[in-house]
Amino acid sequence: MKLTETKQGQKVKIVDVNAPLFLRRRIFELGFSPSTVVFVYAMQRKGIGGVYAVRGAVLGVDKKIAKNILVEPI
Amino acid sequence: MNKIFLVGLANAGKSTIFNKLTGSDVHTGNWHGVTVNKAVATCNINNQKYLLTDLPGVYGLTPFSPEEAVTVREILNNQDSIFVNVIDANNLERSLNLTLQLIELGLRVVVALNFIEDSKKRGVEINLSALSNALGVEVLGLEINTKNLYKNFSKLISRAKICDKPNYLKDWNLEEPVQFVGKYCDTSFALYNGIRLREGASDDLWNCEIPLSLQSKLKNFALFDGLKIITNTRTNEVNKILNKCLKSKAKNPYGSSKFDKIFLNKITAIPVFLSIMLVIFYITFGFFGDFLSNLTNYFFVDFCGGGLIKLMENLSAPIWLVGFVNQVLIGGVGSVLSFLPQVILLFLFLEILEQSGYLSRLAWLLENSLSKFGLSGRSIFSLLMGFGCSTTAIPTTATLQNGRARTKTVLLIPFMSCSAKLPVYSAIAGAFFGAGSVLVIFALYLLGIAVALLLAVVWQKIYPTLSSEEIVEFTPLRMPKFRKLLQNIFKNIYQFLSRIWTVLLACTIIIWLCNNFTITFQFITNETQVSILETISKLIAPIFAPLGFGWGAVCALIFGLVAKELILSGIAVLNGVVGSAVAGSLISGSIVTFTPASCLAFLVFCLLYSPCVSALSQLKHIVSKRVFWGYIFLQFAIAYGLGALTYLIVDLVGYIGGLEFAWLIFASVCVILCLEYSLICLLNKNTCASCRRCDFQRK
Repeated sequence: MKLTETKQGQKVKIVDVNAPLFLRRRIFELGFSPSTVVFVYAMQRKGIGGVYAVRGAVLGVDKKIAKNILVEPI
Repeated sequence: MNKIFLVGLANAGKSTIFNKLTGSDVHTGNWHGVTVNKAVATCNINNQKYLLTDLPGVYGLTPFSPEEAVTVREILNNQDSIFVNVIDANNLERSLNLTLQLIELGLRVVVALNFIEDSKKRGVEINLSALSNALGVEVLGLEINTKNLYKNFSKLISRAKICDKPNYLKDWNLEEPVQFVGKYCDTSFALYNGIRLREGASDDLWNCEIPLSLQSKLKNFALFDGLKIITNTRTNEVNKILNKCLKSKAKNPYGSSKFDKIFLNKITAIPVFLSIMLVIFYITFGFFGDFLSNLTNYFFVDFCGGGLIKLMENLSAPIWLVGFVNQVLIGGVGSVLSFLPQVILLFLFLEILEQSGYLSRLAWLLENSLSKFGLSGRSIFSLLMGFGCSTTAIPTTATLQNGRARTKTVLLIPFMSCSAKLPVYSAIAGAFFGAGSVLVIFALYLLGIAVALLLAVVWQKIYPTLSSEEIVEFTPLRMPKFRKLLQNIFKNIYQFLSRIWTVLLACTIIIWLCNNFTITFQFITNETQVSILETISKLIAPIFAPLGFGWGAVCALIFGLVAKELILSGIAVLNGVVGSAVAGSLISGSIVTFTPASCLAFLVFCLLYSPCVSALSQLKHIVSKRVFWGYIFLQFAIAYGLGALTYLIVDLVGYIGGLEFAWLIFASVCVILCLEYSLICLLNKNTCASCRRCDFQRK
C-alpha cells in the first residue's frame, strides 16, 4: 500500500520508494529507508499530504511524494 | 594552517558551537538550513592555530541543494583535515547515517554529541564510550551552554585520528569500480565515486572525467538495486550501533509535543497561524507600538532635540547651523528614530517564531497554498522577513532548493512592505485618516501581498515552477533563549541604525543642501530664490501629474530610492518641521502637501516602487541583469499604474471622512484579495497538481 493510504495514528513499515535515484536517495536519507517503522502522526488534509514520525523526527511529506513511498501495515 | 570542519545534519547546533569558539556572530536559529554558506574563522586550540569552518547542514554526502554542494565540496577537497561531526542527541538515529559516510571515506572524524541534557529529559540515555567503540571514532558530549565547551572541544580535537574503514565496505566489492574510476579522477575522490557507481549513480560522479566511449561501461559497476542495498547496509549498521550504545529509549519515540497537536491539527492549524500573525501585527502597529513610538519621539525630538536647539540659541549659534541641526539631525534622523520601537517589536516576534521552531511548521502548512504560485512553503520565512527588511530577507532565500521558486521569492520580497516604509505610512495616513490610519496601513500591507500574489501567478503561467520542496522536517519546539533573542535583535537593530547614521544621514544632508542652496550654490535667504532640489524635481514632476504629486513629493520619492527611511526625513526637511509635526505639515500648505486622493496614491506608490539601493544590490547577486532591469521597470510601471488608478478612483468617489473612509479602503482591498485568491484557486483547479505530477514522473 502507499503511504497516502494510511490513517492517522497507524504504524507502518517502509517497503520501498518509487522515485528517480536522486530523490529516492534523499527520501532514504531523511529516514524513510526500507524496514523503518513510520508513525502516521498528524493531518492528512486534502492536497497537503501527511505528517509522519520516523526515526525520532517528525516530517511533513507532500502528497505526491508520499504516494510513491510503499509501506506495509504492522 | 590546519583546518577543522564542523559537519552535521541541519539544526544540530554547528553554528552555535562555531560562534562560541570563535566569538563570531553567524546567524543561528531553530530552523533547517539557517546556514546557507560556509563561515570561516581562526581558532586557537591546544596552543595551535586552526582554521575553523562552519558548513551548511547535510543529510548525506550527495548534495541536493546549492548549500549542500558547498559542504560536500569542502569535505571532499579537504580530506586531510579534522571533521567534527556535530550530532543532536535527540536525532542520533538519523545522524549516524552521515557519520558512517564520513567514516567510510577514512577521514579524521570525531563526534561531538550535542543537546545531551535535552535527550535525557526525553528519556534517552546514551553510553558515549559504547558509541565511540562501535563507531571507532572519538565521541564526546559537548553541551553548548556549559563553560567547559572550549576545554571539551580541545580534548576532542587532540584525539582526532584517521578512522578505520568499516568492514561492511567489503560486501560492496568496491575494488573494481574504485580502480576504474581512479584512473579518471583524483585518487582522493576514487572511493567516493566508487560508492556512487555501486549505487547506480554513474551520472553523479565527483570531479571525474570519464571518456565518452567508456561511459556505457559505468552501468556495469552498479549493484542490482544498489542504492537500496547500500542504504540497508548503513541502516543495519546504525541499528547495531544503537543497540550497543542506547541505555534507554525515548518515552515518546515520535518526538511529539502537545503544542504540535494544535499547530498541525487540520482544524486548528490555520486559525492558530492567523491569530499569531494578527496578535503580532496588532501589538507592533497598534496601541503598544504607538505608545512606545510616541515615547521615543518625545525623548529624541522634544527632549534631546529641543534642549539642543535651546542651548545653541543661548550660545548665539549661526542661523544656518541651528537650521541644519534642527532640520537634518533632529528632523530627518530623529523622526525616523522615533519608529525604532516598532522595528524592534517586529524583529522580536520574527525571532521568537524562528527560534521556537514554529516557522518549520508554518512552511509545511503553507506548502500547498504557496505551490499554486510557484513558491515553496519555505518561501514564507523569507517573505515574512521581508516585512522586517528586504535586504536581510533576500539572502535567506538561499535555503530554497528550487531555483525558480527562489528567484520568484526574491522578486516578491520587495512587495512585502518593509519596516522602513512604516514611518512613511504612519505619518501620512495618520495625517489624513486619524484613528482609521491602522486600517489604511493594514490595507497597504494586504495590497502589497495581493500584487505579489498576482505577479506570482502570472510568472507561474509564463515560467512554471515544475516541482517544489516536498519534505519538510519539523524542528523540535523549543523555548526561545532570551540571550540569543537579544543577540539577534541587537544585530538587526544595529544594521537598521547603522543605515540611519551612514546612508540616511548623508542623504539627509544632501537634501538639506539641495533645499537650502541655489543652483549657483548660494545659501537661500529669501523665498524668491529657487533651490537645486526644486529645479530638478520640477523637471520630473509633470510625469507624476496623473498621480497628483507636486515636486516636493517627487523629490521625497527620489531619495526613497536610496533608503525608504529618507522619504519621511526628506519631507521633514522640505517642510521645515520636526518629529510628529511632519503629519500636520502635509495638510497645511508646505512644499510637500497632499489631498486625500494624492495621499493614497503616494502611499500606494511608496509601497510598490523600487526597493532601496541595498536591497537592489542583494537582488542583483541572485537574478540575471536582464531580469534585474526588467524587474525595476515592472515595479515602477505597477506603482505608477496603481497609483494613478487610486488617485482617479478616490477623486471620483470623493472624500467622505477619516474612519469611515479608512474602513471603505480596507474593505475594498480585502475584497480584491479574496476575489484574486478565489480566481487563482479556480484557475489552478485542474492544472497545477497534474502539471507538477507530470514533471515529477518525467524526472
